[in-house]
Amino acid sequence: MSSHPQPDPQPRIEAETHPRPAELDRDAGGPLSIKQTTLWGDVVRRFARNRAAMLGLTVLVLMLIYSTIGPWIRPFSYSAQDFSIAHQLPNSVHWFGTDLFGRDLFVRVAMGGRVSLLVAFAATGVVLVIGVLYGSIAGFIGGIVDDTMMRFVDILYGLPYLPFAIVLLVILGSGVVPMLLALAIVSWLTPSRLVRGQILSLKQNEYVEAARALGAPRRRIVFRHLLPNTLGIIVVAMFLEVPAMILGEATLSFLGLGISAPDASWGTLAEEGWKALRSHPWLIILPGIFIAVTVLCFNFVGDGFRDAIDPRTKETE
Amino acid sequence: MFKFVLRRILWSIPVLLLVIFLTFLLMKAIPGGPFTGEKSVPAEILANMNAKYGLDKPWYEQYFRYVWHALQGDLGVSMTQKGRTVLDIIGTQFPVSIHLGGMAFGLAVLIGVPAGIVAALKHNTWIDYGAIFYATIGWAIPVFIVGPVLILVFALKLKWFPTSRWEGPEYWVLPTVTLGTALSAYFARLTRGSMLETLQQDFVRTAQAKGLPYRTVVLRHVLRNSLIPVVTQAGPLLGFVITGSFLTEFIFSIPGLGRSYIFSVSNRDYSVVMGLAVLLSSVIILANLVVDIIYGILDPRIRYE
Repeated sequence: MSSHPQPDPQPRIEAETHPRPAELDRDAGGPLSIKQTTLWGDVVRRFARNRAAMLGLTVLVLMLIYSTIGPWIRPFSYSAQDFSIAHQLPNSVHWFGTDLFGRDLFVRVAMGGRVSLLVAFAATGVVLVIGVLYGSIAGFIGGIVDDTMMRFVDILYGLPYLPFAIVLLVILGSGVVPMLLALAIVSWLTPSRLVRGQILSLKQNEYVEAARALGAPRRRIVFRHLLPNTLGIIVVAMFLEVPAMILGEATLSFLGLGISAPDASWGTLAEEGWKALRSHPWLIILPGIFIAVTVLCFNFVGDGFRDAIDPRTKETE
Repeated sequence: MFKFVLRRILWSIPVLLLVIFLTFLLMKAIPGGPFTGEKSVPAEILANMNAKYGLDKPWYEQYFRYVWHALQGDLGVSMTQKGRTVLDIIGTQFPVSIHLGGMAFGLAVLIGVPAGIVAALKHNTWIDYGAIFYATIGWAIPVFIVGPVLILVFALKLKWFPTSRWEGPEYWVLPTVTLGTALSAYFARLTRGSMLETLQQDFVRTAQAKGLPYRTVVLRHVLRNSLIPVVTQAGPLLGFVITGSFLTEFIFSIPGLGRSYIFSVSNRDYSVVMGLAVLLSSVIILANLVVDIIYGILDPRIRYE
């Protein structure tokens, strides 16, 4: 991907050919940062210049803060029912209004955000771990192993995503863990292909050949040379995977297969709102806004990061 | 080319068998059965019912029986909808889903592709920004929010269209727009990106340098080349169309496959779920095959080995 000279105390040939993980921290702007242009320094600089991406990142941070501390800001329970205050629109006491059971929506949307974001991040984490392992093993070993592993992925691509996820969810039961497992099981294919493709092309580079010629063991080649260089596409994939997971969770919950009451995710809130569409449309609009804004911001950040990491890919899919 | 197509078709047979096998195993793993309802059924009757549908046999025997019958065009009978075969259910519902999906896809192409082309040609003008805005927002708002909001505005407030069902053209409008919005946003974004990239290619500069009118350059050189990635994305998008139509059918109470699937999974109607899963898998496999072939026709650089 990129090769640029690095001053390295230890005279090792491979050290010159890719950014070493240690520099990641130094370039993040810590007190140790040295004045030099590195790949990750460039990425951060380019990212910071992208207004949409920075706006997206800001909103996402706010969203995380709201979901984390939201339930503690207002003195209401997310589950206690009080029909005397049901169906209120936003007001000074209940900032987002109340639902049909009189539960405060500011608290409930924050709790829903916790579940939705937790499921999305955890499922993405699982997917990336599987994807990186599967893809890098297939890509690195190559030959018949690669063929077999990729044929398997091809076969699974024939399974329709949502119907497959619905059956899985019915098998695994309802709750946070079944939800994230179901989402992960149907989503690991694309990251695997992505990582494999990247590993295959990186394998052709001279520095890998040099490392091999120097007698570096396979493990070292994979972990020191190949995987660090796939970090970029992995991060981009992560930013595109998380919103897909948020939508996946919300879709399944909307169809009535999600987290069960009184717990809530943004998807189950939308489902509750859908049932009350005729009389109380606010109940679906509110979680709808949260889902859409979060997905939008993740897309902004993902696109911004992709452009920052490789300006050549700008505006192409 | 012929050999390639033939090989791809042959390859899709084991894929389909494996997909059936996986779906079969998953169905077996679902707790409960089609006859475990709210009222308890006497053990002998349950045994009789299971025997009637072959559920008393070992699972591998059930699998081979299923595949054997499926090869002869018999997907079994519904276990919860009395007297209906799976083929009969597919026969009445699949056309509805195809109709919905097809109209949404058509709408998306008609809006998205021209929007993307115009945006790229007017790069960095307000038209471009408007298209980007539409593409970004349209893709981010989920189907299950678009649908209810459309119902709220156009069915409940303005009363222009009915809120649900699928009985005539006025019933088709809102579901089509619901499913088509995100798709058109996706096409707009894809087309724009691809056009912008093609416009920077050397052959476009060459075409302009040799004095071709701008119109010819765009129509003959840019369009054809920039629509290739759009076509290749159409296959994978099918997954999105299926997901979206599940939601759309659910929201508008449309009697299509998606609604039936959700209903059958919750009723443990193994034969219907199997039938629908096999059908959807075949559609996906077929679509990928068609996309690969079209890709080869559009781009002669692709060689079939």
